[in-house]
Amino acid sequence: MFDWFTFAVEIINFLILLFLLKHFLFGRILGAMDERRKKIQTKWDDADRARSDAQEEKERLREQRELLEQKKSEIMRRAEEEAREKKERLVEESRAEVRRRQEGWERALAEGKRAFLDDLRRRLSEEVFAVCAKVLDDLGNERIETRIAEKFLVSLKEMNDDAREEFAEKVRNAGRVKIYSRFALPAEFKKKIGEEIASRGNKKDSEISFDVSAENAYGVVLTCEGYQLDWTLKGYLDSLEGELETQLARQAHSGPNGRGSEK
Amino acid sequence: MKVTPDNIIYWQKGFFVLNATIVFTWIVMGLLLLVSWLATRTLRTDPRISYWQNFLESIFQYIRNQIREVLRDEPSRYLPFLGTLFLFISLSNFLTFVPGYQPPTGSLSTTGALAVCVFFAVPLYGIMRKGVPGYLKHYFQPTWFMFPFHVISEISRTLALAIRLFGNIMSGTLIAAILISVVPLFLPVVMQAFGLLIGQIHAYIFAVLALVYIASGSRTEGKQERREGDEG
Repeated sequence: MFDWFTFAVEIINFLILLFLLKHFLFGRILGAMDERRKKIQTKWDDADRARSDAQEEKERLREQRELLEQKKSEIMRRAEEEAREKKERLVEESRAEVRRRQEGWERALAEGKRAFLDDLRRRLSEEVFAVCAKVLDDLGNERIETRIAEKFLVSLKEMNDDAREEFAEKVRNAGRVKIYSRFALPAEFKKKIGEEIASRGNKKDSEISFDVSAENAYGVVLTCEGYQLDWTLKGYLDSLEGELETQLARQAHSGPNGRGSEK
Repeated sequence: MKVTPDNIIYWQKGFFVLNATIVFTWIVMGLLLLVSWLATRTLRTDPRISYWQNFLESIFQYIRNQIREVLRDEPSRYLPFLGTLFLFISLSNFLTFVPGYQPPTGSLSTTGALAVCVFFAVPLYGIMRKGVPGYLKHYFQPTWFMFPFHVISEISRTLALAIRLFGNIMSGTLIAAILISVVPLFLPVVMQAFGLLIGQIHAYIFAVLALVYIASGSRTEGKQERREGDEG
């Protein structure tokens, strides 16, 4: 019934089988299971880590995007501000340029006007003188120099009291009274003028000199001690010029092609 | 009629005997190793595995969970011993449908050898888990007076383990043989099929009882420790 040898062999057999199965079956399967579990766990951990990293990355990118949005808004706001400032500056510069050009244009216009008037005055005086001379010569057999001398004499005689007093005092204090004219005064008028001056300031004829100067305007000029009394065609024309300017200005402001509408 | 395969002797020289028990034990061992090799040669460790490996792992995981529930310990170091017991007994009993086969478990020498292995495994696992003093202490629980009873209990349960398996398998084989001689048709087939089921049940019973004995060798100490911990 019971064999001790078989019993011992069966114990050894069982131990050998235990060793072999532990090595070839259980060890392998349990090892594979454990290793696989570790691998899955590792992958799981990696996935968790990757998810966590992705979440962090997402957060970081979101913050970056918000920061960029803020910067963008700031840059846009600054750009708009700079653009507005630049626009205002350019508008101001344009206005200054327009003003500058307008002033230059007005200055050029004024210079043109003045040159035109000077030219006009010169031509007018020459024409007037020529016309007057011809008219006087043709109609009354009179010379314009005579008429100018007469006008000077009249202005000398018809001074008001204050001017007369001042003139008398100047003549008295002056050593010499000089009378310039563009043309040679008739002897008759020289005498009349000399008498008039002498009567005012006790001057002798030798103290009164008559000179002809081409630089003078048409007319007669008396100077002594800084005092000047004259009647010249220029003075006459100045008064005409004043009237002419007034007339031009009125036309420029009222006319459709006047200066006010020009650019 | 031979009651035990020990009596079927193929070769003998003095003390050394080569009987059917030993030969069929070797055959069962060889088959187990072959099946083990076939089962584990294509094991993979990456997450994508074959259906076969998945099936195998699910069985092993089930067994591990069973052991863990009983022992409250990591089952990996108990599994080879208990698994070898179960597989050896199971295959030994399963092959009884093969004509001429003599189950080694039908020999008291084999079942006794297995029971003795369990007998020594119980203190071995207990010492591995709790240390020598910790394990020996449970023989004197709840009082030193219980020491002889503990010893008797262990010896008797080892004997019971051996004789239970031997008796059932031997009787099954014997009944089948008797029935074949009395009623040669049909009934022996049914009895044989019934014997296959009985064989698997006893393989399971043997393995579970071994597990319970190992657990009792470890758990008593565990309960004691918990009690001391509560008092402390």
